[in-house]
Amino acid sequence: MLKLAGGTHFLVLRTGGGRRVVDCFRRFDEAVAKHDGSSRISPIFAVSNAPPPTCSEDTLSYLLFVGPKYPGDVEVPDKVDCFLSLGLLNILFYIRSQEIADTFRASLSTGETGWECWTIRGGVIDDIQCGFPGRSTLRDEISAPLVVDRKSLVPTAREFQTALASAVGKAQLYKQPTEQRLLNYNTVLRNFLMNGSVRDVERQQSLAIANVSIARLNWQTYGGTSQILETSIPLAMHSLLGIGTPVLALQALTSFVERAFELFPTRSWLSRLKNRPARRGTSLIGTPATDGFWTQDFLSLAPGEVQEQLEGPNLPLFATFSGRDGFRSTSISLSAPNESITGCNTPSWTLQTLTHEMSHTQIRIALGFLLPSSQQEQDSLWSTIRDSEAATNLLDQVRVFLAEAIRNLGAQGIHEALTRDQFFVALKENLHEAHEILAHVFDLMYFYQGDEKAYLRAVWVSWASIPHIEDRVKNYVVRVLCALYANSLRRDDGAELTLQTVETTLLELDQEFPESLYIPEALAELQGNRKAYLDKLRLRSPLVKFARHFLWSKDAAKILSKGADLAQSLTSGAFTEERVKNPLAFLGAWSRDKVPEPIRSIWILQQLALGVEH
Amino acid sequence: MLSPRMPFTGNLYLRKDALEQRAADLCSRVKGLQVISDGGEGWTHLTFTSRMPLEKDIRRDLPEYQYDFLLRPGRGSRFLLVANHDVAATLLDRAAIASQVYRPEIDVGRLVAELASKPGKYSMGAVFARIEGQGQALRSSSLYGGDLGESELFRRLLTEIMPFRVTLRDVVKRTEVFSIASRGEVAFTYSSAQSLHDVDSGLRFLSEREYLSWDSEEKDVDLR
Repeated sequence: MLKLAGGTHFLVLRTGGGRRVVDCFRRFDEAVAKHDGSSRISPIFAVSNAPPPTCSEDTLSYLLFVGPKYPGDVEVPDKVDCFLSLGLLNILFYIRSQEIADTFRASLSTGETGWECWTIRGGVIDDIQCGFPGRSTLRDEISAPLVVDRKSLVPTAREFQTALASAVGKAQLYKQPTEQRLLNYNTVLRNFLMNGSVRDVERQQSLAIANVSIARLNWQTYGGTSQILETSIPLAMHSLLGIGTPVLALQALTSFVERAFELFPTRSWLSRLKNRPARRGTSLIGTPATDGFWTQDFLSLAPGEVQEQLEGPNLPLFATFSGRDGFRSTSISLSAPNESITGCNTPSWTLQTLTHEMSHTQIRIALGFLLPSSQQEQDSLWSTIRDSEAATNLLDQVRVFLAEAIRNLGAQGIHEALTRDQFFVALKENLHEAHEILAHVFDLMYFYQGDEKAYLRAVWVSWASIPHIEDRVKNYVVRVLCALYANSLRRDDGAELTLQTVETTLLELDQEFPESLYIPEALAELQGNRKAYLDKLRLRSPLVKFARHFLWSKDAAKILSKGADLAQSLTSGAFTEERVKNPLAFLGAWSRDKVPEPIRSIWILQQLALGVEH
Repeated sequence: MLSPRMPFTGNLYLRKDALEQRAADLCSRVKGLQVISDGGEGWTHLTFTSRMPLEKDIRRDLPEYQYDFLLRPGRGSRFLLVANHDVAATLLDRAAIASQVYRPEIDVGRLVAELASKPGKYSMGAVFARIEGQGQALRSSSLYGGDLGESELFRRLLTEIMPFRVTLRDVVKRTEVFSIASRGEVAFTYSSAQSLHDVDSGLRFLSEREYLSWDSEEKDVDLR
């Protein structure tokens, strides 16, 4: 068993006069005191109380960087000190014997991990050797010409191809599963770019976001890898070895969720609704929540029914860290704040918050499938709205249900008759709010398994870390009310009970997190405007009902909750043969500390990046 | 003073002689039983101290045994008696009134079915049920969750099972109120005076919805 113990040390490289000097410090203030324009630094984390490597001694020693490798699979020989790093080369050995160094290098040459070895004489790097587990090969699907009509798109398209080729090449070099996800990304994005109905401005925007996303993925994963001297990254505290492990942790989490929705794709289960007969007599929006109609399992495969195959892969979302964007999603990228790297053991910076961003992805897919995107589709929807008997199957009715539910959110009022144009304007105006509400319901149902307190704690504590969002508190109150209402739709007076539940939970959270900025504001807002919030909640109930019944697949939920009960059985700081069974549950169980703690964070990140059982 | 997180179990009773069940009457009948506090909300805390244990199968190697009881008289001759061990009925034996009481019936099957089909301020945290028609191969089941009635699988199972005990949870506070079984058995965890208030509210709910049946003539059973 390998155990983190002995604290954080700081490995520093300085170059100048043709010399590359290596130093290691116990304390950050000692390290920063010697920091100059050429310096690069990274924290390293002691295993078994290893002292900082004494590289500057006038003897021969070796720093051997190995990775990516699950620390529980590492054996540390006698007389060798071991450390973990946040880089892709996540294991560091400090060796004082040439014989041991030679043995190590020989074993690594035939292995499945990357490595780089610095021979250090008197604190100066004397020699560097490295090895890679794989090798780069050109992929035709990336180098194939990306045909774009407008010349203004050419530079952006070329940047996309080169960034992608570079990322794929690096993934091949380190035998990373990212390679296939990058190839899928290429396929889906090319299909989108070739679609004749997509406007140039949308192509430009998608390519630009893709380029930033791939570039970030590339430097954040492979910065600080071989050769380390040549791959500095623009994150001052990690400029030497990079943050490859935290980025792998993000990919492990997003891949786990993607897998569930690949096996049970949102588009596919919604599409199956066309095989069900239309409900006659009462519209879906007019059917009470306690009606037996809603007890049907709309989305599971009926006996003998075959899952419809998707036309191609889903667009993989590459999550990266961003100091500016924090937790954010676009249609083709995800980001987490830099603070999560050293503070993901707390609810404020837990990577679990990414589930909200991933929820947006699924909601985009659902809304993209159900809402009209062309004049013709609008005509068809409008005719079904005007004449409910025109619906030929349940899917037609669900489209009407969703559109009417979204239209209800606005100021027009549910009973006001709208013209066709007014209806679609209202639909467009309310779409953003609908998207947010649906993402919150989705997040609570799938990623928090309906656990209201865990969900409310997660969202309010993560919002508390964002400055100057006082003006959004009212919207946030509505969103969490809607999310929790999904659990109480069938209850007598469910809206009132939901409001009381949110209020009671916020009071508890206010005690638990007294420094949280917005919880007292939310409480005051809720307590001072109960009727207004109840009215808002009732107006939004059809949308919540839509999410509860047409976005909830118990099959996908089963995959997402598999192995969740074993999350607590690991030991913080230790790496054993026991692996993470469920990344979501693992994060839920281990992100509850009050104070950011780098050692606990790095343990979480290493487990998530390299310890998930497949 | 009761300790927080103290579990209590006992039963609802009705005195056949139509007398009100007073704490003082119990104390006068059982040596070692005394009133500790009268909560003023209808609940009385009593303790019983003895050199012999009340439980039948316990090892007798302690110098003294002490038990906490809570008595909650209701309307007329109804009362709830619970203890921090499974000894509420034994106290009635000691008081020689066991033969003067009977236990009401609770329609747990209907309660569970209605909480699942028309949920309100209570959810179900656990349901214990007999399974009929499976012979000796499968006789009973217990199901746990935060809100069993919201589970579509649970609702499907309801047609196959005969619930005899259910745990009610407060939806807003997400806390367990009590577990109640078909012959008036009650169990709850005391955490503060609020727990007793919540038990009162829960019993009132059962009365008002007529899940609780004391006898064929009288249905109004408000414990207050």
